[in-house]
Amino acid sequence: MKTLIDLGIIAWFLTLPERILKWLETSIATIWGKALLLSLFALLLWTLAQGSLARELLERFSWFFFLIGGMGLVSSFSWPPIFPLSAVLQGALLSFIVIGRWFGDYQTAWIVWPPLAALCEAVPKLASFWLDPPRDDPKQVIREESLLHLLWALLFSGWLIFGITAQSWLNLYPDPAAVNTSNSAFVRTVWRPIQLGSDDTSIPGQIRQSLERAQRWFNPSSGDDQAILETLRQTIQDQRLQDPSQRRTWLGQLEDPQARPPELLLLNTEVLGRFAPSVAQQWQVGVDLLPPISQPTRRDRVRLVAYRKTMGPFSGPLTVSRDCQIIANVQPVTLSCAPPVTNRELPLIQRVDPTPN
Amino acid sequence: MLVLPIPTVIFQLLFLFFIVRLESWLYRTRLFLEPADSSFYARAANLTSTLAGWLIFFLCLPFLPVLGLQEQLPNFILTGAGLLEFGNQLALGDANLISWVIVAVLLTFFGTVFLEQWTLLGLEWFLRREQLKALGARQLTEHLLFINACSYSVVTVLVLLGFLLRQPGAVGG
Repeated sequence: MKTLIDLGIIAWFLTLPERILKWLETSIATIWGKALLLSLFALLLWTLAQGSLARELLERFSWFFFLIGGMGLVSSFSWPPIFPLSAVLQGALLSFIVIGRWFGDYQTAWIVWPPLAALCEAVPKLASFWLDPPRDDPKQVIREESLLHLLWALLFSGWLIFGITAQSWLNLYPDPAAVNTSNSAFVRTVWRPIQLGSDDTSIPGQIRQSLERAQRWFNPSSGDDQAILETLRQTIQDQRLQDPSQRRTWLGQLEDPQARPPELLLLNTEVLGRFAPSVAQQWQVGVDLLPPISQPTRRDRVRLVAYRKTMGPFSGPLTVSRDCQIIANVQPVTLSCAPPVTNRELPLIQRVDPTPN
Repeated sequence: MLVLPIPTVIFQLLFLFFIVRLESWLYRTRLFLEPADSSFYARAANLTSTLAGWLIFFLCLPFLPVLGLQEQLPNFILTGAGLLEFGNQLALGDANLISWVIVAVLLTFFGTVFLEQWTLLGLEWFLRREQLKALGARQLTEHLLFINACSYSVVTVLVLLGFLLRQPGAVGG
């Protein structure tokens, strides 16, 4: 998906000269407004793109058109009728790039956006009096409008802060998903995580269809999912368990959440390489060392979890997993595994930390 | 789960709509302002007092544990729980609660009046106007007390109406 976005961005840039030539035939005010629209569009794409080339391109593009729009502030360009929208876009750019990206605080960026937009509108208007005093005196009207816009923007920020505060209050509840806001006079819940349980009648139709598609896709009784898991099991058994020193290292790594990359490497190089690229794409692996239920202090059970991202009304990954037992008292050490299981709950991947000794 | 303050926004916009209309008319008739100016003053004064209310609310949040409200207020805002109990206690004549409510209402009312007065005087300075100067500070305060009494009455009626409509068995409720 990200690659597609990157390709789309680069393709769109290739058509840019023709678009600019078309726009140059219109009035300068329209060009200025469109420059700011392009700038915001670039910012939005920048948040989606992952490729470094696309991101750098978008960031420069965004700033370039932002500056072109900003030139209107101190030049003799007439103010276009879409100025308030332009101010909103300028505020967004300033807020999300400066506060969001540079300072890494996107929450504050949302809050600061409305007043920054109002200031982006007010400051150049007021400054234009110093640069080019008007003959008649609309100063009062502009001051009134600018002040009211700033007050409205601050009120909007107040609502945003209130929403963020109310969101943070959910953490006070043991089960935030169970909080019922239907009787509240202040807030409403607009999205709830969907718990997919055994009772399929509670699942909305569209999601149930997607779930059924995904289950067919992940059908562990046939196809590549089972083969990948089996190959993964075999590879772990052969490469991780046979050599005692490597086994110790591997078991130690399983207890360390930061040490997951070696397993990803194992999956990518040793396992998925044996399958067709279309099958191998989008796979991730989780390997957790778990204690048996009867003996919590012994960590000799391995959960192999292979999962891949799905596209649909829910964005959580679906998983196919199997629980395996390390049989260490025979040589060679082997993994004995139960049949693969397809998980149906969202979120599906949760690392289960081994019970400490 | 995403929580949005949609009812807060709607109610606040609704209240502002009615109050600005009413106060704009009162500014015109009692303070003898031009129609355009009265509308601007009413909008600016009420937006400022609304913002001040938000500011006070956010400044009070860190002190919720001190007031013993660190669970009650979030619960009330998120779920509406406690409103019925609050109403029942008021109806039963809980003297302590009634005292707090009276103090809070008076503080809010007079705070709004003085804030609006300062806002109007500040606007006069900012816009280089002298429309309110002729009234004098005392007369301006008296007018604003009357104007805010009217707008608070309207808000109270709207809140009560909304509360009654939400009761089980109410028409359309």
